[in-house]
Amino acid sequence: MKDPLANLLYPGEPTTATELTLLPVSPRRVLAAWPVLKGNGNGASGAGGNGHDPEHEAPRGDAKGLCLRIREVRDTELGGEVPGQQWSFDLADGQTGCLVELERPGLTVRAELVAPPGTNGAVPLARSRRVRLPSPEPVTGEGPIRWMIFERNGLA
Amino acid sequence: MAQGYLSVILHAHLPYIRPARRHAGDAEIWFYERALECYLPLIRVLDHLQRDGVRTRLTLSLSPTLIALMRDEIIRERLIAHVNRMVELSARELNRTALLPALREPAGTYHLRLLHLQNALTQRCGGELLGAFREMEARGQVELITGPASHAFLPGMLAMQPQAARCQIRLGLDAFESAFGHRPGGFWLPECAYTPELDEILGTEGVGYIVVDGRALERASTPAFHGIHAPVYCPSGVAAFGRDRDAACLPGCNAYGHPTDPLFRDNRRDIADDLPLDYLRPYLPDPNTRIPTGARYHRIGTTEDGSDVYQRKAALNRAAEHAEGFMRDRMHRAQNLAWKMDRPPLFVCAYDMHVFGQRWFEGTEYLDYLLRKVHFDQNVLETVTPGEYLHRHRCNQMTTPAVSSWADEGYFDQWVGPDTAWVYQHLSRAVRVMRELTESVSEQDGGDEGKDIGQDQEAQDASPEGLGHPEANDNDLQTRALRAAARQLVLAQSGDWVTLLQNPQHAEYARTRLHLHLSNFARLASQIRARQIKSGDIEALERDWPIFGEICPDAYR
Repeated sequence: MKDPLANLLYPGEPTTATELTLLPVSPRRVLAAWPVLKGNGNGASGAGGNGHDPEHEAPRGDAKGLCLRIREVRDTELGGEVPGQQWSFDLADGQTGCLVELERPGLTVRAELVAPPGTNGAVPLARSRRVRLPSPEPVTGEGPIRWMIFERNGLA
Repeated sequence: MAQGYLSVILHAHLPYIRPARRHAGDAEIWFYERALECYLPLIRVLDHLQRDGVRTRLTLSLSPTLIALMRDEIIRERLIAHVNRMVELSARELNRTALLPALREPAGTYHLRLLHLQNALTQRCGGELLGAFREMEARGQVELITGPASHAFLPGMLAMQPQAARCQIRLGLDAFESAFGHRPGGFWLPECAYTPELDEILGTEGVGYIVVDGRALERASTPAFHGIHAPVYCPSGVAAFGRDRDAACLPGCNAYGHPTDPLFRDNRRDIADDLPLDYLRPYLPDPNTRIPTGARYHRIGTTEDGSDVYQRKAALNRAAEHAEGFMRDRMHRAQNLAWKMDRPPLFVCAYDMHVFGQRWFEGTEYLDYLLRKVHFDQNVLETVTPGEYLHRHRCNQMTTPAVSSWADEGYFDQWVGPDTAWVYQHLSRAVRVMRELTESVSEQDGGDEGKDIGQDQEAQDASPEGLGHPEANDNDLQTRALRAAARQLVLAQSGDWVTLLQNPQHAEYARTRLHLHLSNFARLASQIRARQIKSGDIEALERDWPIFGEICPDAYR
């Protein structure tokens, strides 16, 4: 579906991709959204797929060749994190969002918007925060059960 | 002491609808239909339970936009006019059906019901529904709670900017307090959509409890020891009650609350679809637009002799049987669970309030029967509100509920799909602009501090455009513009638009509303940035959208 408000502009909107939002949708799906990029000033296009669907292409713009990278993140025992598997999705010109289906459920991921080689080099234009997709399986951990007493404000 | 607790929670919400200038528009009619078919019958049921000494503890969640509609004077006047028109129509129906023996009885029953509801609205409530809910809360019969300001899908807001979620929550609580004079103990999460990142915001905003889908507890970071039959504390101290999915499917109805029992009234066959427009015209708000009248004389199934005429008595008997069956089932489960737990098991039965009466005509009577049966016919179950439960059982397990919603699959696909994802992109962009606006205005204010008028005048004279700095009262205008922009943004964030976009009948309305609020927002943002605020524009928006007077744009910083 096309974005029916594609021509709506937001004055003062940052014209560089400084923020990339990831919204977990289900154990395997995540929505990535980012502000309109410098140069593709005609606004947003519809989200969906990996950008190859012509229905989702924006009418004009010059941010061709951008790529969305979803990177699995694994925690180390020392508290750091190491990158895991990575998936790349080509984006249509002017696209400002993408609903991504991952291969496995329950991953912890980060996303990056990467410019095509030769424009901004290999430097990502934007990075998302780390997001954990829900796990479809019930937790089987045997962690200790903690019991608490809270006196909440506002209770009737 | 009871062996089990039954906590019935009814959630009601409607998007904010600006009253149309001349006559009620389509969306405005939604409110009148729901008032007539759901809110007023529910008020009557609760009054009768109180009169008959039935101990009832019910939780009612009223969304801030619905509260605003109930407080709106134009809407209140038009509701009375709508009910009066429907009573007149039902009286005319008595004449029309006088020679139609099959329809005479349901038409008479419907007319009588409307007379009772008219009386409830004008005499009992004095035309103000909110007063009746306030009174029921004061007498301890119901616990009132609320939700985000415009019923926003909070995980979506949170993913954009935490400030967007915080603003929705804070504004919702403030709007409730303004209407009822106190903060609510509980907070309704639209679609029961929960993500652990919400916890900190809910905690710092003083929320006492939330209702989550049962799967949120089953998949919690440490599995809930009592499953869905006791609440857990989230790390912030907010209590999370797990919705019982078995109880969510009402007997005699499908999963969405539409009746399936053949004896129940068929809500799809309205006289508005069958009778000539000329006959209906005097009773329509817009004389050229048909609206559902609520007069429906047929049942879902047919009898052995082929009749499909609605028989009220048979339908109510069936509703009572379903109430009995539901109660017995919960009693049985409570007795099975009681020996395994250190406290009576809790059954959280959370529903969309509009199922009762509107979707399911006999729903309010079902509720009436259920509450009476729980009071008179057994001593295993006791009705409690979540707030009351927490007073009785202060010690609960602490864990982090899992990402979940009350959708079939338990996640967010229903609200963030390929057809609706574009909405979040727009909202995300607008929230960023709002944040920048509030920050820049704040910096201007801070930057202006310490300057004297002469410095301001110099700056004004030096301005290349000749616009200069705002005059003294422009700060006030700027604040009003920021508030108006924030209000439009909050209205655009309503979760209804995503839901309605997926309904072909209402998709155009949702697109129009989204476009209206976002373009209003963009226009205001442009004026604020250029420091060329048009006071007439602000006044028009304040007049046309008289909601969320408590809004504070600083929440976006």
